[in-house]
Amino acid sequence: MKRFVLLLAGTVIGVLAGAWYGWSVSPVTYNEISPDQLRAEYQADYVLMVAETYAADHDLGEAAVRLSRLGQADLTGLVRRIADAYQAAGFPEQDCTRLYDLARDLERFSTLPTAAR
Amino acid sequence: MRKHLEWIWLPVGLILGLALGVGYAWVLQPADFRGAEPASLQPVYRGEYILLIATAYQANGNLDRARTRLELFPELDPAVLSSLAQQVVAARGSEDAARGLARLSVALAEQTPMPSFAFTVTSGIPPTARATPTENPTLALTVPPMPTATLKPTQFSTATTLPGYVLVSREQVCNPLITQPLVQVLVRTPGGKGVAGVVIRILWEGGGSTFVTGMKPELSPGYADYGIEPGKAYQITIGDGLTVVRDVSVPTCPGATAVAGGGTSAAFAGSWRLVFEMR
Repeated sequence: MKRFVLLLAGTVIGVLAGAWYGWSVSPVTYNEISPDQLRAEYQADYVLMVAETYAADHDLGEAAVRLSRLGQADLTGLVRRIADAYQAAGFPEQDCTRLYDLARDLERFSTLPTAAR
Repeated sequence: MRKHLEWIWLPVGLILGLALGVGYAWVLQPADFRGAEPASLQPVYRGEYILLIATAYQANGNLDRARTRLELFPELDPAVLSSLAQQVVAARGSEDAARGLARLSVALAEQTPMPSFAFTVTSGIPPTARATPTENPTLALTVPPMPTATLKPTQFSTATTLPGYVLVSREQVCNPLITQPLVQVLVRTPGGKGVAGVVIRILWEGGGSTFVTGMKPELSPGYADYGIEPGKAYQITIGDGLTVVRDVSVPTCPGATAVAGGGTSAAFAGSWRLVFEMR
């Protein structure tokens, strides 16, 4: 009986210590990730960089390819959501304008008849 | 004795419990994952992210923002950015990205104290500074091929207006310390300030390549060079393609010029220095 109690006590203490170590001391780190696994703020900045680049080169195809790395099907919605969030957070007007411009052009393109693309 | 042996079950339980606890925390229920930082991206995406920082900088000219973004990649210093710009050019990647990287490299180098090498039009390039760009072994950046644009409505295309350039000087360089014949290009403003990020195309029979000013900011932001071979004629085109320098070939320098210490030596292959000014 005493053996069982000792084994159980050791196991419980060990589980608690192991979980504490695995969660707090040395939590899992992620390497070799893809852009869709970036933290939300970096994904938003990624979209802003795409919008900044698009404002200069007007290459909608390249912007769409870059945005697709974030793994979202609705690119227009993604850009518009971030534009709204930036505007609500008081980001510079120029950034918001670029994001809205990109969202508008993506939407315009997505509504073109297939043959016109 | 037997009573003492009973206590062995406590450490046995501890070891078992530790294994279970760590396994649970690492595999079954990892700590809340709220996303990673850009430095954790796969090499191909990391390269793409950095190129996007450069193209965004090329587009908006906001150095503070670009620097903040680059701080996410601690291994990136101006020299590495220069090296990356060359990789982009070599891989025939985006010219905007190459220009942005070169401009960023120069802008950041100007704010970072670094050993200065006097670059003057009349002197040869110091051999220590003329070394080929450093490959950074710790930086496993893969320059991605630029994404193929599958959606490209022509109604959104806008031609970019590029500045014009004028060739103001074409000099033969006879410096025996320069063992590889070069075309050295210096692009400057009318005020004499070097201009980084200018794409130069070099063509020869059966081939061609591009290079970008700003690759060696320690010499001048507007400096770039390209190795040339004897027996070939090269054509150099800069910027908008309207400024063309033809019939550039490896010059032969008389041996007497090459002497250090008073003796004579055989003729040797020289280089060219072309100085362009923005109009």
